[in-house]
Amino acid sequence: MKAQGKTEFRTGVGTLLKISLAPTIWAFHFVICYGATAVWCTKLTASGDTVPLQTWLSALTVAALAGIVACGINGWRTWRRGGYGEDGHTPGIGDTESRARFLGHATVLLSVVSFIGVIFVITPVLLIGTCA
Amino acid sequence: MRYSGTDRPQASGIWPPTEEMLAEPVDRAAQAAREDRLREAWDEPTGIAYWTAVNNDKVGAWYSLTALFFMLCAGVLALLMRVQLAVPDNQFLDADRFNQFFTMHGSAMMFLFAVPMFEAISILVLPAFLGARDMPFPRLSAYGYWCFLIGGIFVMGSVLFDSGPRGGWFMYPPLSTLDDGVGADIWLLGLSFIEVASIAAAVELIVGVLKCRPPGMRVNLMPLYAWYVLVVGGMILFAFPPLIAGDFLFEMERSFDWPFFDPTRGGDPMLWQHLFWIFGHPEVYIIFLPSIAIAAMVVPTVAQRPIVGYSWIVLSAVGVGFLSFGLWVHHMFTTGLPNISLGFFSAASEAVVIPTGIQIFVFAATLMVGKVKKSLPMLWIAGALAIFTLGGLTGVMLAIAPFNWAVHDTYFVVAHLHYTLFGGMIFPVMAGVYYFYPFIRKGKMMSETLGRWSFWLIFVGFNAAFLPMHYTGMMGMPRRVYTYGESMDWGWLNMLSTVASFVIAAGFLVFVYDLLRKKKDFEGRQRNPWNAGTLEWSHDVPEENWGVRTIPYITTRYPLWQQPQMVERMDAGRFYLGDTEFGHRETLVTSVLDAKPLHIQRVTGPAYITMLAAGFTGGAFIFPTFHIYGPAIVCGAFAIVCVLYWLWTSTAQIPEAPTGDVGLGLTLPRYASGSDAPGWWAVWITMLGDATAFASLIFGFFFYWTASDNFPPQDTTHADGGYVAAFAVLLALSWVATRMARGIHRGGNVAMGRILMAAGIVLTLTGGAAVYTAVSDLRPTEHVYPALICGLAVWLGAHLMLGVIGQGYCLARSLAGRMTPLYDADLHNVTLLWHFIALQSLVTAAVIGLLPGWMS
Repeated sequence: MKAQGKTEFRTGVGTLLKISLAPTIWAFHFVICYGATAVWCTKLTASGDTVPLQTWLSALTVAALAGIVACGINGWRTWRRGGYGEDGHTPGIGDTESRARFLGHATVLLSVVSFIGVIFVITPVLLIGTCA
Repeated sequence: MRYSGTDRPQASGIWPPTEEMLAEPVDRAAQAAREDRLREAWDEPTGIAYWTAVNNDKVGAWYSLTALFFMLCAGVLALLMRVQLAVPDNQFLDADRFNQFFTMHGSAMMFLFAVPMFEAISILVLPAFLGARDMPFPRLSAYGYWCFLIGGIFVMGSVLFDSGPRGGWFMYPPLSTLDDGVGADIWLLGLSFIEVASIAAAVELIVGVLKCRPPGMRVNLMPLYAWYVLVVGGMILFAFPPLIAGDFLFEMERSFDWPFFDPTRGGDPMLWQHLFWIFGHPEVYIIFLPSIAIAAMVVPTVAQRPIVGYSWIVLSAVGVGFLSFGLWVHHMFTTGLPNISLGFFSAASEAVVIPTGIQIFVFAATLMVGKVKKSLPMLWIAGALAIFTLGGLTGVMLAIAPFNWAVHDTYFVVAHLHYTLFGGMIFPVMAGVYYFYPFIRKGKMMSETLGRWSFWLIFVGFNAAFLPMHYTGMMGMPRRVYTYGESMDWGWLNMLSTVASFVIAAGFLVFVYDLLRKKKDFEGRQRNPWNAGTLEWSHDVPEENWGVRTIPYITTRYPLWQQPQMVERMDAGRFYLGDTEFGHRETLVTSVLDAKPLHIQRVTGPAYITMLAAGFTGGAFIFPTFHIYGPAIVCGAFAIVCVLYWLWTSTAQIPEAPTGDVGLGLTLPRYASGSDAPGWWAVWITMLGDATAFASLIFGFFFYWTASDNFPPQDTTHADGGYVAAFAVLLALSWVATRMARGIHRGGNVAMGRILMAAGIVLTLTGGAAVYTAVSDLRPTEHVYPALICGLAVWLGAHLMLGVIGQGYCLARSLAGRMTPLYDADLHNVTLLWHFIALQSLVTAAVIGLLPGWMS
């Protein structure tokens, strides 16, 4: 029964979704920043002081960036495993290697965009030090 | 060989095929017989029954033409508005009619043209891109089309009876909740109905891309259009449901006075704005991405070389898909949210420029390194890139909050959005029409001369009409005013825009004439007039209804360029599924990552039932607009009966033989259940969208809590804790029973499986009664808190009805012998449905039973 439950969701779509892991981290970071700011400013602070918010969200940002970098490294390895950068290797197109190379490359690129996106999103928290 | 539920038929034989096998000649006489059988299976109904057709090429063509018709209607409204604005103090239209016209112009262009056009074009061309015979669920496409047609005529027609919606295309409360006319109801219910059709199309397109690719077409070989469709389908699942949830709350307020958006009773109009724009901004990209996807098909053909930077395009599509969800508040910069919150959305709005820009550079790079052949499609793409870039630049300006405050609600915004939509949607789609016309009309071409006329009229007219609007807006002219005074000095700018808008209209007239005029045969009936490299150009001229003669084996991105003899071998019937053993319509289902052939999928054929189902669904949505609920409920019930009949008679049919020979030495199962089956994917994807709508309601709960000091109110009645706990337990047990029924039934113990299915039905019904009792003491018209709890209960109740129908359906199928341990797809799909229903039940129980105690 257990094995059956496992295979139910093992369809290859997980591997495909891996390329969107870094943007998903961006999305969670974004939602948490927005939600935490809303709750902090309306429910948790009377003075409009944002230093604790900045501290917590900066810590979250470091974690998110670390996660994105991890995705990027993982993607880089898949990309290399797919034959990128090997001397004297003529890359194919219709084989498992080339699929890995493509998914790895897309993962790396999406990690870069997500990394920039996370930095963009944390900037207002650091620059605007007020709930007004 | 005998099979059982746990020992199921598997694919066997040779995979992948060798070059020698592909090079082997095919016996001509056998081929002719196979072709005849296929032709008969895919035969089109004629006469009045023509309209029962479900083939993707027919439905796609009707869909596109209907969307074009609505676009022309909305365009006429725009012209009438321009006439009114041509001179100061004009009396051509009165204020109320002007309000109806701008509301309908925006709503129709978005909901009746832009989104349906994406679905229409995808249904029309996607199967051909993928070398598939048809979409995985042809009747679902047809059902979606008929829903769209009925809903579209209903919404568009309201203008003729002076009862159109008049609150702007985003229908802000309290203006629209307090509006006395039926216009707002027509908007809400009519468009919700069409949104359902959009989600149906999204489900079908995602399943099409993931499961119906030709053997060997790995994810890194998919045509770029398929990547965009995948991303956009995913976006629809997360963008449309919040709007459906918002519509649900809105209509409950209008019909039953549940005060979701009424501040005097704890409601908040801002929740609507959030839900609308969580939909509304991704919507812009839902329109833009599939249109630019057409450019991604045209550009390589024009440059006569593969796209430069395939993965960069995928990065761009996926990146935009995500980032576009972080932009919604930039439509709400002037609503008084804290600056720090605005900052997040400003930042994300700037970040989305990166992936959007990348794809433009990819196209430019491909054109630079290729040998560009001038052609009409390329002319339109060039116009698109120019106009879209200008719209993008004003977008970067508008993303900066202080600038946005300055020009908010002025004609600057009107200019910006028309630049993005003309550049991002109209022009690429026009390019697509010229490009795909020889494919759709089988070898006929549109006129080069008329095409150039149309382009230059629209291009010049567009810039002359909308470029001055930036300036008009900077001078302070607000959007949506029906007239203005002479002293404002906007007169000449408006006159210029009005004259130019008629130039645009002239361009569209030329285009429509060229599109619809009778074309003579001698204009050349080539199969591949552009010398393109993708599979759709292997189509049969003259037309055959079977989609592709045989489903090819793909190992490259541009098979017509890179795989020698591709078309000859397809024509000769060398590849897969060149025959239909039992006279059914069939296509191949392959694996998600590497497109390994998995099984033969029977697809549905022509039927009246889809039209009937759409008609009754329409009744269920349209009657409530006029507060007529009896017939609406009857229509709803008949719609359910129609859908059940359709499922019962044509889906998950037990095959004549467990396996079939598909050619090239490969034998595949003829039936799949669980995650191998496209139906299972459709349920999974639909329920993901459904869960998003549910999450939007839960978001509402938290939103009211943060936005108000008194939520939940001090002395309010709460849901009955005991009954909340009871329904949580009962519904969890119902889920357990269904899940166990699946395993036990497959193991061969049919009797026990049936007992568990019946137990599931009883548990669901008692659980549903507990849900009702838990909230029956609440008075939803009093305050938003009881209203939202009752809203969640109504939502859950509707899902329990769906769940119990599913359980009953499986039991009936089993008793009728249409579901056996070996052929148990229905039970797998219903179990999957129940995973989601159980989750929603438990979350609802936690939110209405536990959260209020923590919050107050």
